[in-house]
Amino acid sequence: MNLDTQLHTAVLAGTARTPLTPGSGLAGGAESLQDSINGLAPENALWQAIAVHDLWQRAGFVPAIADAAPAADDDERACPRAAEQMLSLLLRGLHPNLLESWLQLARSHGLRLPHVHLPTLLDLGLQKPPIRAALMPLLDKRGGWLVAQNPVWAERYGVAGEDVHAQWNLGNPAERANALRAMRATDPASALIALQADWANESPENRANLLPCLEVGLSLDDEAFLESTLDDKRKEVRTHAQALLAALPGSRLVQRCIDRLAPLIAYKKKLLLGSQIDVELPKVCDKAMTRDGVGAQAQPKLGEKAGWLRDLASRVPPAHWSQSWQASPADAIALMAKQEFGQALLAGVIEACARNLRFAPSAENVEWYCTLLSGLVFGKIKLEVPVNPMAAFGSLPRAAQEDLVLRWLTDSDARWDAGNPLIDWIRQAANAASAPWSERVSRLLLSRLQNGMTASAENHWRLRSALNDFAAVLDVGAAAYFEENWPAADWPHWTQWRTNIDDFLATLRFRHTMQRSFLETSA
Amino acid sequence: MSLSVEQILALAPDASSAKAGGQQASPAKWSQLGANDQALWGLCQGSGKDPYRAQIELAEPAFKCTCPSRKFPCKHGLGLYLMYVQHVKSFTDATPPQWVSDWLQSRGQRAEKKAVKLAENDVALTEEELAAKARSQQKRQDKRSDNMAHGLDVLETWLADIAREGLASVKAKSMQSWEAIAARMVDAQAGGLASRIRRASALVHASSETNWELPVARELAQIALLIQSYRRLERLPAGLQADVKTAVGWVATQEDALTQPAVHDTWIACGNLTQHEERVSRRACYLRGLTSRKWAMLLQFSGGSQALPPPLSAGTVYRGGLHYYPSAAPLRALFSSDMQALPDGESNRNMADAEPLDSHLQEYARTLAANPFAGQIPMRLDAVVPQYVNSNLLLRTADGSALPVPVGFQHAWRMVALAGGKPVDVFGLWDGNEFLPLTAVVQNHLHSFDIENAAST
Repeated sequence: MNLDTQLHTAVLAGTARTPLTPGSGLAGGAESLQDSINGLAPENALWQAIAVHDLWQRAGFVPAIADAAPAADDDERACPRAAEQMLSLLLRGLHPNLLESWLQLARSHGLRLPHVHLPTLLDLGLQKPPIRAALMPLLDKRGGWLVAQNPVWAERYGVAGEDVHAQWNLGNPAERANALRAMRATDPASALIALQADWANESPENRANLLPCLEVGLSLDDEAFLESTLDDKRKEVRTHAQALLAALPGSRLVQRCIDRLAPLIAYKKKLLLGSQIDVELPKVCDKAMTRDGVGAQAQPKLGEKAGWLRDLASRVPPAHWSQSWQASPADAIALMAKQEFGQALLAGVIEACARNLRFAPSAENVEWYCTLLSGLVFGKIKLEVPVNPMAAFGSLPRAAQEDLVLRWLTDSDARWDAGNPLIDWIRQAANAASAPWSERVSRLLLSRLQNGMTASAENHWRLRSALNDFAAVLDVGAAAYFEENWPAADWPHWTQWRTNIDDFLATLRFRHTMQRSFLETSA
Repeated sequence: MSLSVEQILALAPDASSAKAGGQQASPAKWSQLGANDQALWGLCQGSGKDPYRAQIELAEPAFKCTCPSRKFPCKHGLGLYLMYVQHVKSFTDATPPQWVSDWLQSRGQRAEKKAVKLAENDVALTEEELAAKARSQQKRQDKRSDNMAHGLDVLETWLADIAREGLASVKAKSMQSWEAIAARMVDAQAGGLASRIRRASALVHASSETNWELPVARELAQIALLIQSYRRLERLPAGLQADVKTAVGWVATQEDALTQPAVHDTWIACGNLTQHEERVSRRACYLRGLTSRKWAMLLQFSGGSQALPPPLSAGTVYRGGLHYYPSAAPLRALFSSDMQALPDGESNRNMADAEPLDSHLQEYARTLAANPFAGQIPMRLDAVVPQYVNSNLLLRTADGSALPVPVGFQHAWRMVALAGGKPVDVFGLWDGNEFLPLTAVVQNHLHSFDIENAAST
């Protein structure tokens, strides 16, 4: 609605200041209505004139002409109606933590997101990075088309396809980083050239922001450039470069650290007494070591020099030790653990496993990591230095994850009493798991759990609090097994357990229904 | 008739009930589930010792449950319905137990009694009693008219003050002065004017946009026009008299509607608009006659913390008579007793109007000419593309003409995502300036935009 200027001024400033002259405001055919206003008090005349004006305009609305905009082209497979319904339940707040599983299922079935829920999902992903990451690969033609129209979404989700180069050249820092990752994924070499082209002119913030993107498609081809960035003026840039090079087997940085450790660690093979290693601490941390990131931070619970030892060990692939000592990972770990500076070495090796598993999950690295973890789980190795050994669990291949959990379950005491630390380990494994566990592991875990429930029903907070995490990874292909073997209805401890078990089973049932909903054929 | 999950969840009184209902839809919680053409029933284990008996009569749908919840329908009712949609195989029982058949029977009886009572209403009275009734009614009305006339004088003075001072200075005034005059109108039994004043007050105090004064001026001008019209009530045509009285605050009674002849047709529920104002919730359900091409609006009210009755789910088809309330441009209506919901798929739901936008707009002009207080009218736009132009959503027809959608429309992006830049059929409300979408049909699938506007306050 717009008002005639005189009416507009009068209604804003008041008729006391700007009196209305008769006939004003009713132009363009509405003059014929003037009669109805004549003879009214000036204040009332103002309102009546506006009312007439308003009715006149609404009755004679003339639509604007808009240009056609490009439509989305769609040919993707829609998900079954049942799966869509599960999604709308999730978005209504039912089992919200299972939303990611739904997205993963949709992806594994190669189905597109229901259009109606796209805006809600995109908005959710703005606040929750894991949801955003799960959404990105599902943003098909309709999704991309929609994202491109909303600046807020476009910035966070980036736009794949032809626009990548435009984004790289003209986008804001977040868009440029997204574009660089996308370019690395398709053609690492030319993406590196693009990054190097203007590297010298990038601001320090941009350099620190862009360098970590090289982790996509990282290879020895990137080494020369990364080596040069070890001398960057910005500390963050140097730190990123150190981390990338340390994770790159065969890099010069790795070799330098191997060379530095060589004179410090002496391996002695004794025929009767078994082997042993003698370890000395580094005496100095020179400029070259600092350049490689050694001694960048004080390491808690370790002296300065032991800290340097840990830093050096964390930059050497664990496979190096088993090869040069001709020992299995288990034996090599035992040798280290016996040593005076064993804590520093083992902490370093755990970090090295985490670095190497991300970029080179070779069988040897996997074996090292699994051996270390199982050693810790069964108490063969004790670590007093703070380090998170489970950090790399999610990087293990799925089969290795399963094998580990299976081994922990079979090789441990079947009775889960209240103090059993294994529950925490398995709980962490469940949280890090990239996919649900097999039926075999699931059945075994469930029976242990039911066992533990009855074994020490009174005070088993550890188990009760882990139930939610277990419910997220147990196999739900078949529903029957998790409905069985629960204590009878007259079990005296149900009052303590009822809510937890109800939630646990509700999650499993929901996951079961959700998984099956994708198999329905009706669209 | 069976509803979709979305439709069932739309019956929930609030979001938390919908969530709780979803959690109840789990086979482990239920026993003795059963269903026939008429009803669903089952026992749900709650926190109490005895399981709750939940039952649903499908036609309306009507819910009953023995749980103590004050939500209606309760989570068990919703859960039962969801169970039926998701796990229909669990409903093995086909003969209703005693407690279900009793309920169904008593519902039937109650409906009959109501019909009989309605028919007998005036017959049982003697002529004298009738005359006495008419006299006391007249007395009450006279008193109310005086009260109202006095209230309108006060309001007119108040409006004149604003006109003299100008809206620019009004912005600085506190909300209380608006609330005071609105309360004064409630006292004067002019509730319609009171809610218009509250709406204007919200427009003044909530908006920081430029040109905020235009909608305020429009609202106040309508109030002034209403006062003017009410004073000349006798000189207006009969239908418009009813419209003016309703707009001021006289409540039209069901009897007023029942005196009108019924319009028989097949009616399709097109969409709902729910508004919460002060302590009253109000929902308008819009229907379209398949052969008469007439629009109708059913109103539902609830006061206090009570939930509204379930809406007429969009897409549901009814057959039977409707009585329109008297009006110069009849829209509000009442179901007559023969109205029945039809089973799924029994009727042709193709509502395509295939009318050009111009004729819709002319229809609105005709409505305004008959009743200047009509406000919004229901409208169905065929094959329009929802698209953003300068961050405003427009509905664009094939020839390029576009109707603007209100800036505050919460489901704008959802609508764009659904359509994907292609034409869709949209139902909504047109007020002469903006089109508020309520439902859209995309590839034969109907989507409702749950709109819960907190009008004023």
